[in-house]
Amino acid sequence: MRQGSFVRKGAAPAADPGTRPGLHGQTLLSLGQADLDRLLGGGLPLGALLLLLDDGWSGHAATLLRYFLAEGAACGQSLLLAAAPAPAGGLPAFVPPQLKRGSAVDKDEEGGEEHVGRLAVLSLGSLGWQATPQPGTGVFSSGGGSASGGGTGASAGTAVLRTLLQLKGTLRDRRCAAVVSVPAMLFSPSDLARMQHLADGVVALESVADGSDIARLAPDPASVAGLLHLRKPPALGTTSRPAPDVALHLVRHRRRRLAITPVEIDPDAEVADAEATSGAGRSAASALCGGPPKPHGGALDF
Amino acid sequence: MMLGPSAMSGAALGAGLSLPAPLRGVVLARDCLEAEAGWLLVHLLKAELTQSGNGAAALPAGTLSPAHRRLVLLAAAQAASHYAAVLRKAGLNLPSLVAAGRLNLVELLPAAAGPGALPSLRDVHALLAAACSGDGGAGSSSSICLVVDDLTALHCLASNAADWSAFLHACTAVGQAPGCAFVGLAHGDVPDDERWLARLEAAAALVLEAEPLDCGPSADATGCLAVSVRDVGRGGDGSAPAGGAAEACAPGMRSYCYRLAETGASFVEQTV
Repeated sequence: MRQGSFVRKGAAPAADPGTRPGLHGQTLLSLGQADLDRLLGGGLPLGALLLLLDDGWSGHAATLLRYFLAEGAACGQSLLLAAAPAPAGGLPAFVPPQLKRGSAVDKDEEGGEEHVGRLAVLSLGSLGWQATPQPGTGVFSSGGGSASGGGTGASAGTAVLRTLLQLKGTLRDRRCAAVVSVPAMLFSPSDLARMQHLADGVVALESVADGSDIARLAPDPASVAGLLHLRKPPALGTTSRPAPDVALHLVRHRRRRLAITPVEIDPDAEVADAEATSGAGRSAASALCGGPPKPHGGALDF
Repeated sequence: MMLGPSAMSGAALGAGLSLPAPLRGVVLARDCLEAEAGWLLVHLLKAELTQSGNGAAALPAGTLSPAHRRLVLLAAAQAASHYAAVLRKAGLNLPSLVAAGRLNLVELLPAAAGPGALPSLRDVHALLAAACSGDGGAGSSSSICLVVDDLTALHCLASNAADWSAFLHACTAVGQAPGCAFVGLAHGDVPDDERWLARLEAAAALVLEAEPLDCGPSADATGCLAVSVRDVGRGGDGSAPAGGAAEACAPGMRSYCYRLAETGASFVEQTV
């Protein structure tokens, strides 16, 4: 029995492979990593630019870019990778095997529907992208890669900002999305702040020292490989940006793949750490009640 | 700190927010990454477009009343599709407003994506000047309200500090003309921009600063909005606001908690 008066005319248009409908009329693109997709609210909106701030030690930005490209290759989407210098091991080792067979080809035919595309930029602003001095003048100008420079005297940070602005203009209202990784340690806090404001979404990746508190107190500390901080969830065409429940996440190595889980503290590890710090043995009271009474008669803490 | 009842006045833009209306002089909207204020520009745009009481109705071409200010929006950080989407949720039809001449949208992103170098600030200034002067046809107003989103994105187009200072001076000059206003959104968490932000704040008649809550966004409140009225809301012709708007124009600082929704924002004034 038909409940409403709306009648669909014809068949619903099939969604492009690798995309899914999102809120506010957005079409979301999978990043190839389910945990990251969930973190971003289902995926990256078409037309959006996601900025990965890499601390230079973790190397997870390159891994996430590989996931991004691999997902696009698996879905038969158009791919473009820009990297300077070439990633470790060379470009052939970085790109997904599907690309080596040439299966993803941009066939943008005139009058046809625009294909979904993905753009990945690796280490924008690193040595291969940086401004080079003009001989004899001591003045820096843009050079190398695709980093567009401004006028005379443009710094590397300004060049990266202009590149991001150009990328953003290229992506807007197009059926493509971009993920750009930037080595954060090469730029000033001001340039980083401007980049984060300019990008539609920002994810910061940090490495974790073996002896740090997070590595010691997290469940399954052997699998902890880094930290992921969602600083700005991507949102296009919306008034309010979705606020993530948890902004700080752990990057873990699990069975030869990356997993991204919220930061959790193992209570047993926390207690053991506190006892090791205090140097006291474990009494029966602490085993039963969670700790001996405080020596100064402090207020009860539930 | 107590959350008191909102101070409603004839100049309320949203539920509880009292601002001088119409906006006069230089208005600085400042935010940070944790509390973005792009929604505030949309709020102010809606208030400006509904000042005449015509609401979202598209005016027939050529019937622009001289009382209407020419509204120019320089979109440097977002595309027109973004403003169309958010204004539609606010009850306004952007294409109709542009076609009727109520709003002049100057987009920077399509020019940035084009072949060749990015447009310079001089090019942007020329575009703004053309948009502000308009076609001079029947019904066009000499009063302008220039809204820039956002100044930090425009700053990367400047070739040097003098270039940027000149552009800022041109924008503030528009705001200081009789019956005109300049609304600029800037990000306050960029350390190197503090100097020109301080100069802009010194010239501003109204400063709106969005700040995050100490405990983070909650279900009831998204952030805090600090409103600093630095000058009595007089226009360049010396006219004083009438009626209930005088209270909203009183110099001083007020703080609001705001809650963002897709259709707009609601405010609750904080009283200490």
